[in-house]
Amino acid sequence: MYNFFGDNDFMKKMYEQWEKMMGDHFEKLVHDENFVSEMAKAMAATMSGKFMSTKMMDETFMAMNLPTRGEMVKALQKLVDVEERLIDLGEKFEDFAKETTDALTAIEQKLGVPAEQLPKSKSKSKKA
Amino acid sequence: MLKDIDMAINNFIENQAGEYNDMPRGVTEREMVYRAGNMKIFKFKREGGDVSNLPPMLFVPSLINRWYILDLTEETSFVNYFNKFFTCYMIDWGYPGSESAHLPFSNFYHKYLNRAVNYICRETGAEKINMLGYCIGGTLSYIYSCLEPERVNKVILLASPINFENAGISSLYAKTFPTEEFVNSMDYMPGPTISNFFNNIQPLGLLKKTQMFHQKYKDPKFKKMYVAMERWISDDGVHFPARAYYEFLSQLYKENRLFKSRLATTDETAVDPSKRQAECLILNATLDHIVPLHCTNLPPADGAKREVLTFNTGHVGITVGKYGVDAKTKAVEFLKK
Repeated sequence: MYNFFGDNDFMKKMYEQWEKMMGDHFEKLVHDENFVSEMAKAMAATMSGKFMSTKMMDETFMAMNLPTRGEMVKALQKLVDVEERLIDLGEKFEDFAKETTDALTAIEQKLGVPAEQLPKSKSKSKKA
Repeated sequence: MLKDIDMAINNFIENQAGEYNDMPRGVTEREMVYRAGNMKIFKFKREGGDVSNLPPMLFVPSLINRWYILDLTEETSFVNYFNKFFTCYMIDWGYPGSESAHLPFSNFYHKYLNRAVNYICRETGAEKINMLGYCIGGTLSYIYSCLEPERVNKVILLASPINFENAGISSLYAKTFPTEEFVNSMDYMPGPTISNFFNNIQPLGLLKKTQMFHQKYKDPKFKKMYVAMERWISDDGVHFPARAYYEFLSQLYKENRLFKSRLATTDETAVDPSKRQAECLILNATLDHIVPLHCTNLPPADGAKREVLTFNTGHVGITVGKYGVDAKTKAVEFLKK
């Protein structure tokens, strides 16, 4: 225990008793289903309040022809989606490049000829 | 006036913390080798270059805290120890904000982990990797090992919840949490709110912690650890993106889908524990009030080999406490077997 009371045994004991009592009480409280469900209701009410105020703000901004917070967040999320797609495509491209290199190396090893020296295949489509 | 008081308190704390206030967040030398959106991958530098004869090691931290709990101080660092034997990588989930609100939970346990594993395999030439997940990071690693069994060699679950049935007070909070109102109004579950929840689990914990600080703050070893922990736990909260949080609570905590083999990704790929191949080491703690012992049990459908090691400590103590040394030694022995 923190030595706030110096050598005063009575105060020390009283503090320890208080700490134990409060500890037990709070422990019971935070594990009590009714208390937790009431806390959840309070939280739900706060969140509903936040939802309403955000909605009001958005409506006010929309009436003034200004971008709302919701619209900006949606735009950000779209950007994240585009970024995700680009990363996926980049990875696919890298995989494809690796497969191609591996295939070329395999051909090289099989024929004993460096890939650059292999005859180039004729393109089927003729350029105009 | 309030601003002045706040400044005075901050100054006091900074003075008390002294030199430790500038301690790096993560002590092992590292470089960022990959970045995609908010996610980063760090590679830890090691003498003698990469280890080629053993699969590389990927650390997967929790989504609700920062990654450096596994690399907090030189004495307690998991990374530092593992880095002697393996080429080590760490995921940093970053600081997600409103822009990540729409991302599903499966992005974290499948898409992003897959990116990390792809990158590591491409860089090292390995076909499989070893994974160590802490807390929710372990849950993510476990799900990944079900989805991509061929890519994971061994997996270590450090105080990780897999069975969410009767998961103590967290279950009670999850059961009553107003998920619908949350999804309608919030872009993320704020980091400080999550932190407060953990403080509420042990209501007098903060008081006891402060008492302990006043008793021991003259001991530099204690002070260093205390400051490092406080900077991690109170000063560096991470938001949990809304949709992912909603799915995490409803699919795992409320419906326990992972344990019942009913979890699926957004593209309807089933998470089937019976497909898992990777040998698993479960490290759990008897005094863990966040992930009780039974919550670390693997689903009945999971037939892969496993070992369980239990330590007489708590949820954070298993990483940075005196049992952390045992935990990391056993983990390395398991991987080298």
